[in-house]
Amino acid sequence: MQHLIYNEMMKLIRKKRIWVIALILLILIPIFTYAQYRTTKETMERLGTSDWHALLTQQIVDAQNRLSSNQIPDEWKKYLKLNIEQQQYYLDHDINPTAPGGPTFIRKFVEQAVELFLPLLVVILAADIVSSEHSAGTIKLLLTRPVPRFKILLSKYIALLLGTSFLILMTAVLGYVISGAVFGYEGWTMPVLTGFSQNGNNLVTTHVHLLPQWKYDLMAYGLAWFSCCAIGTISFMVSVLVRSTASSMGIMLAAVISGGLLSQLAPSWEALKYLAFTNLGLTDYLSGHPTLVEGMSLPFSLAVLIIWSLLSLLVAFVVFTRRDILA
Amino acid sequence: MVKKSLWNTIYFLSVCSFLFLALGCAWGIRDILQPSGSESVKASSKPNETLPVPAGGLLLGLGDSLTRGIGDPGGQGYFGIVKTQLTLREKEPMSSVNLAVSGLTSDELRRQIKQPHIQNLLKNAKWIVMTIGSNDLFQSSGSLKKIDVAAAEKSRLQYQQNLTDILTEIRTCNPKATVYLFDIYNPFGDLPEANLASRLVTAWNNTISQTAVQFDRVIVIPTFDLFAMDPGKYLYSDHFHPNHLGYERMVERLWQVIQDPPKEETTDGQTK
Repeated sequence: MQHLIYNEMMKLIRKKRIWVIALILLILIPIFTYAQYRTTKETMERLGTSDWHALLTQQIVDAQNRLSSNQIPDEWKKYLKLNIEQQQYYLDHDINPTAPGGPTFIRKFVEQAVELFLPLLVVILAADIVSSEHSAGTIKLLLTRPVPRFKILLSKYIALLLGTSFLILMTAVLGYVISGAVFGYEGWTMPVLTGFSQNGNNLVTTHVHLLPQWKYDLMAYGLAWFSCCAIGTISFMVSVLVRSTASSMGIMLAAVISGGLLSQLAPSWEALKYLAFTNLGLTDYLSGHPTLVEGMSLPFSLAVLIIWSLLSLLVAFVVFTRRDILA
Repeated sequence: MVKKSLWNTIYFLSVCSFLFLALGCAWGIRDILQPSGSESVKASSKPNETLPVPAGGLLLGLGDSLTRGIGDPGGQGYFGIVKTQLTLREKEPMSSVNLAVSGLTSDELRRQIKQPHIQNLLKNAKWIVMTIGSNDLFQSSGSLKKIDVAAAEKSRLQYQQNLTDILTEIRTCNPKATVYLFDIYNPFGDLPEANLASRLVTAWNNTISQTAVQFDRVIVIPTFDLFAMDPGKYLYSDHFHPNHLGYERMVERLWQVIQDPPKEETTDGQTK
């Protein structure tokens, strides 16, 4: 079994797909870094001060102004309100939520990337893991070996999980190294607030506590990893079902993107919360970012992701072990 | 061979990161579901006393949508224009914070400036510009069709109290900064009900002046006349907020006063 996993892992690495992902990260992370650098610098220039209290106060006031606009839907208003309350909490406790530094950058990055960017990278990695064997015609070679089919598929799945883990690690490391060159490499022990929860329209702060940033980063990346594994699992199923790599990638990209879009477009449509793709933002529960669709919590999101993953695995294994490989 | 060892390294790293991230995930889930509260957050620590304000001084905007700049297509408003002009005039770099929120009433402003961090900004301000009162007036007096004089009068008294509180608070925080307070104009000057509305606005403006004179260095800048003759030209299409031209007119007024050096300083070549 170990040899099988090792073998599959080698295939994954040798296919250079993982290097394409590394290249994407190498290009995009500097852009994100620059974007953040610019925004910070611009606000600082606009206000003429580098004091974060003033910056955060201005941010709160800006958000309050958006709140008074009639254009935005109620769900967004609630979201903004909770966000303001949270920022106010940071301000009241004299904790800078965005002290510049590599560790802060990767924290902010994963919080933004977990819903769309990371799942897309996982899809790139996972979409062809089975279907490429069809495309390349190597499936027959693979299945003529004296190994049970489910073992072959299982080893592929484990290799995929390992590859996903590597991808997340690579994102964190590259993000840290690249952004650190601009913002500095310190800040691992900086305190970060967590434990916010929402109760209807109110922000509940009874469980708020401080975490050192390294711990927070570890947790955030761990949760992002969980979402990515779930996406990887669903892609895995699609890769079994669809024989061409291009279409399996297309299906997954469409699903991931529309899932994200839908929850932005129709936050009042509650049935959306049963989709796996609207539950990817697990890090939001850590940062206390309010959720747009009502009635979502960490156990709920985990349950939805787990159920989707298990169903996908079931379908993948049943289909793969029963399928005739004639063509 | 080099390739092979690289692959093995990646394989090894993948396994490690798998375990590492799984640990992080479990840890994160536990922390969210059962907040340990090991390091509880201590209640509001005192904000640091001094802001690093540049030598040029801090321009602080307070109040409602007029200070926010609603109606100006460039989003600048009088605050933005005055800020640019001051930046050009001051040799040293200066900073500016605009705390105005559209739709703010005097009651909300009174509460807003009680917050410690906003007081910290107040303390460090060199100029404070503000507009407040329009929302109190035009919300309380009801629809334009039938202006409720009694309700407007009631809210005027409330407004007077709030304004006194606000100015007292500002003076307590910062006895030195000059406060430039715009008064209210009548955006409905060209409508049939203009007379009654104008009378209300004048009453409110009297309140503003009477309240302001009780404080040192609180200067009321009249705007009533600016929009009296030709509201259509200087108002934005919502017929309530000034447009860019209107804001420029307000700036002209403000600029005349803001240029003057503060009273107690002797003239040291600052007069231009």
